[in-house]
Amino acid sequence: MTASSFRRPRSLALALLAGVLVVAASSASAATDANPRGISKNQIIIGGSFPFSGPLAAYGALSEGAKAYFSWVNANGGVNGRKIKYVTLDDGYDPSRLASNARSLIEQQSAFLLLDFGGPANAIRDYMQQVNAIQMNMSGLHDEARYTLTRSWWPDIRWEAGIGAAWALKNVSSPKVGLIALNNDLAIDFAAGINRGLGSSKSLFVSTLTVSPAQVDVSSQLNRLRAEGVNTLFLGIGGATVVGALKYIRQTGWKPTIFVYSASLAIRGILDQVGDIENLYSAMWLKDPADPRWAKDAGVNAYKARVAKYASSADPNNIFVENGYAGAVALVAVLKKVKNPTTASVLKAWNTLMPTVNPLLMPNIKLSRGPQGRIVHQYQIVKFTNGSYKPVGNVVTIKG
Amino acid sequence: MNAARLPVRGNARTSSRDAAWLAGRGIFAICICLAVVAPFVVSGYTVFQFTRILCIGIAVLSINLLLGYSGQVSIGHSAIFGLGAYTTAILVHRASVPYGLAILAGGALAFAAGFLLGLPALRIRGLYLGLLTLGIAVLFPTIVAHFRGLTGGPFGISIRTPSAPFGIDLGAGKWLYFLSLATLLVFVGGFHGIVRGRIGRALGALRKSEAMAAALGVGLARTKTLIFAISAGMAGIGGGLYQLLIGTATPATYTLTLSLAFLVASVVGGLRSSWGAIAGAAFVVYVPDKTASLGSTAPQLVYAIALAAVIYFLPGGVAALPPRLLGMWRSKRPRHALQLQQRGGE
Repeated sequence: MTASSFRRPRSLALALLAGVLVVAASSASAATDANPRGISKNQIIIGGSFPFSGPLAAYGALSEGAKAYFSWVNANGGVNGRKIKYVTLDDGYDPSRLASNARSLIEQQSAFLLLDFGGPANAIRDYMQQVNAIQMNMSGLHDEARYTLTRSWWPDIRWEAGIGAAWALKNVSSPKVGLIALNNDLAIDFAAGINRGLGSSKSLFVSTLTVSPAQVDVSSQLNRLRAEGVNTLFLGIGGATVVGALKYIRQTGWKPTIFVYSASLAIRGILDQVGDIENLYSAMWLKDPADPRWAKDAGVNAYKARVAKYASSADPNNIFVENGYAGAVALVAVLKKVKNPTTASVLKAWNTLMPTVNPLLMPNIKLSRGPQGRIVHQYQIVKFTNGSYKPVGNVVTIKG
Repeated sequence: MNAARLPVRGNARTSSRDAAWLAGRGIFAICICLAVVAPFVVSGYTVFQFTRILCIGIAVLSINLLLGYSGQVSIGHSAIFGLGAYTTAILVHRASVPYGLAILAGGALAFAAGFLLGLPALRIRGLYLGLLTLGIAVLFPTIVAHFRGLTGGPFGISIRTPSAPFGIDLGAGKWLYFLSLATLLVFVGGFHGIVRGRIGRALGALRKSEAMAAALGVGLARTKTLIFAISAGMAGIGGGLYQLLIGTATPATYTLTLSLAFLVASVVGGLRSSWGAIAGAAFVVYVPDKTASLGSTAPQLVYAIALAAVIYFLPGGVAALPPRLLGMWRSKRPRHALQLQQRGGE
């Protein structure tokens, strides 16, 4: 290769860089209350960044449910006369793509607030503070004191684990607790919650084993916990892995008391593949749309009808669709309390939310301002029996 | 034969080459001007995307040096990129080290890691070296998540994008863009300096035949480990800059998928081209965003189709396209007048 042929490609290098140039709208500045971004007389713009592709694409269904509800709201007058424009982008559960999407949605789409799944959403908390825009994670831990503009829809995993552990302490004979969880914040939070729930009996928590999100077979981890004498098993793993784990437990004749993370549990797609299994519990806050118990429930049926009409490609029996829909219900309930939405006024409405009915929450569970700025902080322990969840005991409220 | 009527082909070719050289320099200058002006006319989001391209372009350039010129396969560059990123984040966040020094430290650590990785490369090559580096890419997120006290575990570490120094009135996004651009240009210069110099000649011999290279006095061990280390150092610095851009480093950012993206970028752009590295980086930055609306598997499908198309139709990558088009254009040009005259005399 001659020197001249080196020179041409190198100059063309930067020609290519320049060739990607696009003249776009003005760069982002922080939204002010006098001039809120994404709010006009007739419209509220909400951005959504979810994993529609990649290993966690199943959680993209959250956005489908939200979209269905927003569409129904628009068809019924909007939010205080404003229609919701919902713009979504795929982040593939990649923090760097989420960072890019956040900027695109805020700066190019002028989104007023951003919905995202959680997890890698930590990557944009600083940016959202800089541009003074609300970030609503579907899941995820958030540091309310430091990141004042971030809120979460799902309650804290630690609460759920703590409630399960406290229940096991009272109801399981000589409990010996083991945990299998994903090797991310799920394992850390679950373990912290179990320890909190066991209180002074922390020594009963004997083992935590972590697995990667891509790992589907956890039989070796189950064997190890069984060999350690674990009789109370917590599972903080993903959907397909839960199916394999429960089947393996039944096949091997092991009969521990099992608590499955509520966000990983569903009758459709998970338990309908497992079949009968003994001593399966969870701490739930949301109705499972595939549970025959809710076949005549007005809230669930209304949800199913609206999904069929406004998000026909989504499966209304998919609990993630329902979860996203319920999150949208909560968000709209907050937005409706504010005549002139700004970041400050919406956050204030969220932070002062009085008990509000959400038709998709379990009976006796309501939305209200709770610890960490979360508006869901009540659980119902359920046992899976004959294809349905049966409530066990009363609703538990987390106070702090 | 009449000497006066001999064709003056040598002069014609020289003037043609000089014209091309001048044109190249002109295009280069225009491109530099456009690259400098760009952040002031596009949105903050576009500046962010451009900066991503520059940072990833550094990593892809490092792969081009390693794979394209020394023939050593690495599927572990996401780990090295991540090592630079996390080193930068940890030093800035936990030890308040100035970010410039932190990035250099990340590059130095990555250089050392590359040197260590280069040692096994002395004995294994090809598929086996690729598998070794693949293992490192798979392990990296797990190791990072494990040392939670240092790395923040699954939550990661957050650092802010720095503002311009000395009170220069330039937003943080633009400052990082220019810093990344300058770094990439330095590395492009270094890349060409290496491949055109003594090391490049040694790499050329190595690539053809290690036995021949050894017979010619090329130090195999020294050359291979040095190139691995240099490549890793570049990737580490790219990772440090990327960390400043993204803000939060989490284990989920630096996974095997990123390594594969680097390799795709390298092949699509051109394995031995510096500007191909930038083209490839732009490809992997924009393809997921632009194709996501087509379906959940569309990005992967586009990657696969692009790879197949490049390997089959354009083995040198996008970088091979301009010379090929230029060659096609030249072959259609009328012959030089003197050559026509020469034919007429005969």
